[in-house]
Amino acid sequence: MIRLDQVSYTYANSISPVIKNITLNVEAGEKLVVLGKNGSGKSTLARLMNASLVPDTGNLTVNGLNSRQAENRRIIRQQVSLLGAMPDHGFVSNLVEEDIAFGPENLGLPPSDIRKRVDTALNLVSMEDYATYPPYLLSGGQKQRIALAGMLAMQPAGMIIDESLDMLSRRGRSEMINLLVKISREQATTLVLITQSIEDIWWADRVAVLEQGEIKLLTTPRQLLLQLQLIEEMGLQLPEITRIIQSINQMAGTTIPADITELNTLVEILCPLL
Amino acid sequence: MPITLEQVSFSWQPEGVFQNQVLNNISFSLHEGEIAALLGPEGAGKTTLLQIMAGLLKPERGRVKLDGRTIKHPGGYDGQIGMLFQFPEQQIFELNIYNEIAFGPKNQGLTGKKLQTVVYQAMHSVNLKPEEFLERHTDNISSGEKRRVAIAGVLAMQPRYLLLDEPLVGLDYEAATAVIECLHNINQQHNIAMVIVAHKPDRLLPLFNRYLILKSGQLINDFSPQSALSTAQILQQADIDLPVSLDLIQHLAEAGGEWSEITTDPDEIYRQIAARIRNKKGEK
Repeated sequence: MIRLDQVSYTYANSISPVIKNITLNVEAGEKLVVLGKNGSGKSTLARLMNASLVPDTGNLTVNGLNSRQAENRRIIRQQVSLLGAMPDHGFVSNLVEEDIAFGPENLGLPPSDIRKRVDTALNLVSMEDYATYPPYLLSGGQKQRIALAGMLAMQPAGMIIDESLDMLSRRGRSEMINLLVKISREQATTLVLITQSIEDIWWADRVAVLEQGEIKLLTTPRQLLLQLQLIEEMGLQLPEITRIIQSINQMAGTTIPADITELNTLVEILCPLL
Repeated sequence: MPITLEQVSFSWQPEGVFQNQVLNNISFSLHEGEIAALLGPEGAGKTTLLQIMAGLLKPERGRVKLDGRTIKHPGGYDGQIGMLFQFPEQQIFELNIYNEIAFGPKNQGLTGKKLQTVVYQAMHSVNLKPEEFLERHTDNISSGEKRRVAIAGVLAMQPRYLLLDEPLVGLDYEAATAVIECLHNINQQHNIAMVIVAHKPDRLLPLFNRYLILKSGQLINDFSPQSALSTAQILQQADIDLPVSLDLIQHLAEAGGEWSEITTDPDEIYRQIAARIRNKKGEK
């Protein structure tokens, strides 16, 4: 669906490229995680993927439409929605439900359909009680839920989530990720989650690790977990459960497998050893 | 001398359509040197409480006192209480780092050598070497460095209290480590008391010597952590997501065994578990 062919990008006021010669094909319905530390080029990649930025060299196409052609960009942005980290940057209305309706209104849908989409989206993010609130009265986490609802109401074919769930609690974040994964499975939506945390990525088909604008590693989540040294060398934070396993193995000379992701499983292994 | 909140309540739009009580009858004192975690579910009122303590919002009912004096006007603390907002680097507006950090103390009336001294001290506190960073453009530094510049900007006002709203959010592992270290140093060297809001406090646990638990605008618990297990139990009762290390202790305790003596420092928890495994191996 989203195809990058030797894409490079340099910001106007900078010398070195932020994205260097990336070739990547994100299939329709694929669930991809893009992992990298601050400044690795993650957000730039996200903006290229929905034609908010256009490559300096190389080509980016969405369903065959090249983002180089200005007339394609609007269509690309309708097909691939991008959600950023700062919900306040995206609010356009004084009321939550109007804000969510803004996108569908611009699609020219009949009012009854818009109403339905707004209500459904609010339900999905568990914010139905806040339909008539002004966004500024909401907490950081609640604002991120509303921003997500705004994206869901557009029913895009591709969703890019760029660190957009970081203000949510651990539970809230994993609920929202489960929701996105479910939508992707049921409706064959393409999902790209951009993050610097290796938690909550087990559902992904592939993980692309970005370092200084290049894809250093393209692998599966479980394979990634087995390369602890590489993760640490790249300055990425291990999931806390992996860090527990690593410390205990080091200090107690045990060989608990590093790819355990559930605390219950770890407890079952630990109990007989204690 | 402490900051004291006496029966503080707050609503947005008390007479408007969206009237909703955000804080209800909150009382506590924050003393010098304390580092308190302010925890609570989404929308519990954490940020609003910080803003009231910082003097940015006026309580609807109740009082905020600093050293026994009631603060009458918003912002009337003269820099004694510093606040770090969510994503503070978004508010950086000067072109070079020196001017950015000097902005606050300049407005307090400092000039010349005195101004330079507080800016340098603030930079040292957050581990930004003046000779390397003073002249740098505020756009050409990493996001972790920007976060530390923002913290230095608050420290340069020489506050005795520091209120931090999600100081680690959005930072990668190394950048977060640097911020945690500087918070530790600031507290140790200058005895500055802090309240830290964090929805994922795992890496901050070793810093906290107090927990304030907010739920639906009420302070439902205020305690010093006795052990990892008791802290886990209180947080769980308050419906707060447990940090993984505390969750693990809770699980192990449920499965049997004595875990009540371990502190809330995650590394200490893992050391203890490893030690018990080694002991058991030794018995065999």
